[in-house]
Amino acid sequence: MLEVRDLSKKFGGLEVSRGVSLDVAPGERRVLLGPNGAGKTTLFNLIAGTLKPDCGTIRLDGSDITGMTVNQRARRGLARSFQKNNLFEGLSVRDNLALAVATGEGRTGSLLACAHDSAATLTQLAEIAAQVGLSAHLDWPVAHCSYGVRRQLEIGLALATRPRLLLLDEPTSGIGPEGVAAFNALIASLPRHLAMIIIEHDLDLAFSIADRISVLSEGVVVFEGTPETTRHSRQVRELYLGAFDD
Amino acid sequence: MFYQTRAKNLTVLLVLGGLALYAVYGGYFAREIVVEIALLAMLAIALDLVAGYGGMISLCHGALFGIGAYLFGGLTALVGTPVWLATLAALAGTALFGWAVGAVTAGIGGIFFIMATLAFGQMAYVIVFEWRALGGDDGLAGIPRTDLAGIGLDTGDSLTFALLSLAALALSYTIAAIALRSSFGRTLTGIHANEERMRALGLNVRRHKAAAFALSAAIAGAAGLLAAQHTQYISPEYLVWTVSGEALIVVILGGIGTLAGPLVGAVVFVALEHVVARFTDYWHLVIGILLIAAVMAGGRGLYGEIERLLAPGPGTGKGGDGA
Repeated sequence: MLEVRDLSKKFGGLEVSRGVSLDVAPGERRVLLGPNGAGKTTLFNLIAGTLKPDCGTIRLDGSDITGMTVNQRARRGLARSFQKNNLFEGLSVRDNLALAVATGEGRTGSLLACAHDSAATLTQLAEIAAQVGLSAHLDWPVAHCSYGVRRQLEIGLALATRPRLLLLDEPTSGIGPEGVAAFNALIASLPRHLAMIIIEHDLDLAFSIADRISVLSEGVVVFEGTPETTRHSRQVRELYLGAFDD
Repeated sequence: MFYQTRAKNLTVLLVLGGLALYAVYGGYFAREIVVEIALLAMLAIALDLVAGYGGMISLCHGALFGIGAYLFGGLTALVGTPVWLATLAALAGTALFGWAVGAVTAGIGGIFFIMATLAFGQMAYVIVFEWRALGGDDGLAGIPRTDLAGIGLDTGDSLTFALLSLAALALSYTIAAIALRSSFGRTLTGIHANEERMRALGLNVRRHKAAAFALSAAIAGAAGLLAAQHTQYISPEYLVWTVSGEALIVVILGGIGTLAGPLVGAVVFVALEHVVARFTDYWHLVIGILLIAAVMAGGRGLYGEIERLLAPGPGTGKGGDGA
């Protein structure tokens, strides 16, 4: 469903992506591993459209989306969560999710009706809130929520647009073991037709949720394989896991 | 997030009712003041729509007001276009200009956005100022008022015109409130709160901002064309950027992002202008002190303070409903 070909991106003299290629099948859960500065978030920004590549192409469901804007890509079923929480700060959890649901459905233009308060929106909103464990927090202003709750909302906003490809950038950063377990359960509960690319540093989690794993280093995909082969790859150990063994 | 609360209902009804009574019992001079307040409040509502709810602090709303006035005045006084047609053309023309400003400036943030809107306003000012056919800096006279004799109203009468201006203000507030409560307004608040996220969710932010600016411009243009009908004479003074500055002062004084605040702000602004000016030429000084006090009290403005008195509690806090 996603075909990335020879994607390159330079910031001044620094090459952050150097000919990255990546294929993700429909419904596949792909985990991106790699040390800090390997170009993982840059790759997300290129796929989501926040950054324009210097060369290379990105195809989604067979059509070239390389020249499309962020919002055009989102309308085609691509959603992302951010490494740093990127929420609607002044609003409640419910209003945050309502914005995401209504925008995902493209119901943003009516000057008379309010899709955000409609029964359809509220039903879907309740469903998403239950999925990410926010049912009890709907009336809370985001500003009063704990970091963990905000992290759940970050994923909830991405899920609320009903995407077909979901990019999750370090979804479990800073949420502790309980949060990681909950996230693991969430991923398992999501429909199998939803494809995902997940940047993750927790290796146990990565091995348990991934169908396949790609390892990035210095802007290049240096390894790709199943969790099993990744675990035993000498090259990966030296490059990435080695840093943990030391 | 905008909600037409009881505090808003009460405030709007009190302001409109009070002004109507003042117009009925206050004589000619009072009616002139009521018209002045009503049109300034319309301009401030237009500005609050984009600034308070959309986060777009515009310094070209004076120009939008002037464009509405000049389109109407030029078409009626120079071309002889019927008043109803000139009204529609003035509204559409101002909305179009606003749409262009919104579309061009959509990618610009912060102080640069303010400067870009100022530049648009100054361009409009210079064009009107230099355009001899429109009277240049001499202005343009002979502008007719809407003829409502058909329904038994004489718009030449000062009381009738004052009440019509209040009706236009009520209509503007209602349109803005409905738009803000709709999907369109909720989305606008979302852009204000987090533009990048709205884009990531799939929204064409530029198109939405441009549409919001067009709606705001149409309301500002309506105020302008009524001002042209009121004095039946217009000059480039309408488009000077200080008019935009005054509108912004009214919005902040009244309470930015509250929609009801601009009405309160306009009443206080015009009242001070007339009352204080009797004693001193430095009435701007008093406005300045009030503005500083309003900002230092937490930025809720006069309406925000009213709301706190009526409904104590966490409230909407700083920056009103606009996220």
